[in-house]
Amino acid sequence: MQFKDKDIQHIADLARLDLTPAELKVYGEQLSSITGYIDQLQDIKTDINSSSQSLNNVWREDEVIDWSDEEVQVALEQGDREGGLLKVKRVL
Amino acid sequence: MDAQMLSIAQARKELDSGNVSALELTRACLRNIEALDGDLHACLLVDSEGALAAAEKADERLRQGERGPLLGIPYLAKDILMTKGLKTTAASKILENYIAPYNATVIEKLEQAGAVLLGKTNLDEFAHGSSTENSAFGVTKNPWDLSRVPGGSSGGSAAAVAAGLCFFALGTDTGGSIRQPASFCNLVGLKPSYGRVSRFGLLSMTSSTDTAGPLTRSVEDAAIVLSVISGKDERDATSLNLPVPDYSKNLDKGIRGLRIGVVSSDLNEGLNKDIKEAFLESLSVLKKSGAEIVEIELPYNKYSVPVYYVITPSELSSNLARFDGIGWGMSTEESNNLLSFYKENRGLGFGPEAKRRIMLGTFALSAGYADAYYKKAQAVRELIKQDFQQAFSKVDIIFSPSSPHPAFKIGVQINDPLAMYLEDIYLSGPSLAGLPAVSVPGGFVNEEGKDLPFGWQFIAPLAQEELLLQVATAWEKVNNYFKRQPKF
Repeated sequence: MQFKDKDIQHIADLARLDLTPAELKVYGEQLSSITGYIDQLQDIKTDINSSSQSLNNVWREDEVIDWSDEEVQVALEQGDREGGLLKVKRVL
Repeated sequence: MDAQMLSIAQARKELDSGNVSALELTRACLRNIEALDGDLHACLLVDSEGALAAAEKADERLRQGERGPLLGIPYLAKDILMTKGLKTTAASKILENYIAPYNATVIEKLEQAGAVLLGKTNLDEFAHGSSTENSAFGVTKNPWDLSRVPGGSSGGSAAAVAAGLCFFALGTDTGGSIRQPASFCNLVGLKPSYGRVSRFGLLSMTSSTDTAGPLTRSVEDAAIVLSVISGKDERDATSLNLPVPDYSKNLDKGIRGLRIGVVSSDLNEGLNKDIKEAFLESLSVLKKSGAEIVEIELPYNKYSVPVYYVITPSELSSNLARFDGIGWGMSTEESNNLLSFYKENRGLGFGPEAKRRIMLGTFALSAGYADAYYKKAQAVRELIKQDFQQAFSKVDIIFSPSSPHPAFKIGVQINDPLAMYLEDIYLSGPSLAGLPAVSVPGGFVNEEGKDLPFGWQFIAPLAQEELLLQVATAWEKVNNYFKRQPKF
């Protein structure tokens, strides 16, 4: 796969990454070379149904387990807060 | 007595007989960190106060007659494991100021066992890499040659153990990150079976292959640590619900009659010729010890690196989506809305390799490409698993080099991501199949007048760590490589 600047920009948007023009160029070249190497997988005959046979779901009851006050405090001490809430930028 | 060069087993005897205290061992390690880590940069954080307090507590437990394999033994942990009240950065600017509110299960188990946490070690950012050059806080140097990398991503842990800054260190291994630095630093590096050790509190990279395990100076030490940190954890749904044996119990059973599988294509181009020669010699050594060498084939294992570099970026692009710079990382004030704030924080907060992998994974999972990349890779992964299953119907253990060469120079591979990915050529297969594997000291090659260590890998069937360590011990017994220490 050969990536052009606009392909890389699209991926960067999906990944929520701001990239500089220099980064766009370098990642374009590197991702082209890496996917070129990965593309050898296309030559292998696989049965798509054969994957994940050994996997099974692990369930548990959906119970609320309270955090210890100490853990809550350490977690909430961090970051920019106002009135017990985390402050973020304007969403809209 | 060079206290911090004792094995855990030796230190245990000294502690139990009262010849030395946990406080003395801890002080000796802290002195060594102070003296040597300026050159090595193995540690990202040293918690002297916490370590001394933990050592005093361990001494009190010892005085009251309590005994335990790791009671009073000082160690370091890779800075991707959550440590309550201490910074846990994953060597990333995006978590630069993050203080963990709770302990990873492995840290908690070691605390209960009375081991003394000295601090946190350097790594490639979020464990993405094979050299520690991707750390946002500077590279770690290899104590065997300061101009070379210690390997990675658990490079800080490896350099620290090799240089005697601690008795053992915890690393994590997703596709080789314990075994490769162990081979570069003349250590034993044990990657347990997937699920053998809880992942709770390990900052996720590739959730389907992440494991935590020890880097130690001897196989016996690795067995001691593994016995303490293993086991089912209700907070990690993928942890194995199997009993934990005492891994140190059967180490001396030898390898007489065991079938050891070797893949001839492992010796193809790319393998350093001195290492290749040493590998062939080691086969006759294993034969002399009573093992049968059986040639096997793992036809799909040669695709393990391309498969790994689809699955890993895919999973981590999703795992790292949670990091937005809000709360504890570097955070920009420029943006005026949430979306551009996210993009700017992430663009500046992640380093080049993390961004490269996030992009690759986002691509491999994106509409129109997920079938050709992610699903294809999962299907080939299944074939790799079947390769190993079939091989283990013919042999008990598989034997290979750990790395195609000794430690490389700092800077030579940093701009060639593909070359860096190929570091894992012998190591990513067992990770994809979830199998336990260990790297043990294999010998030395001389480059530019310096002796540089390399390692051998043993791979066992799922949950057969006992057998794995038994074979590794047999290898260790017929040479003294593990006793050699770096001078720097």
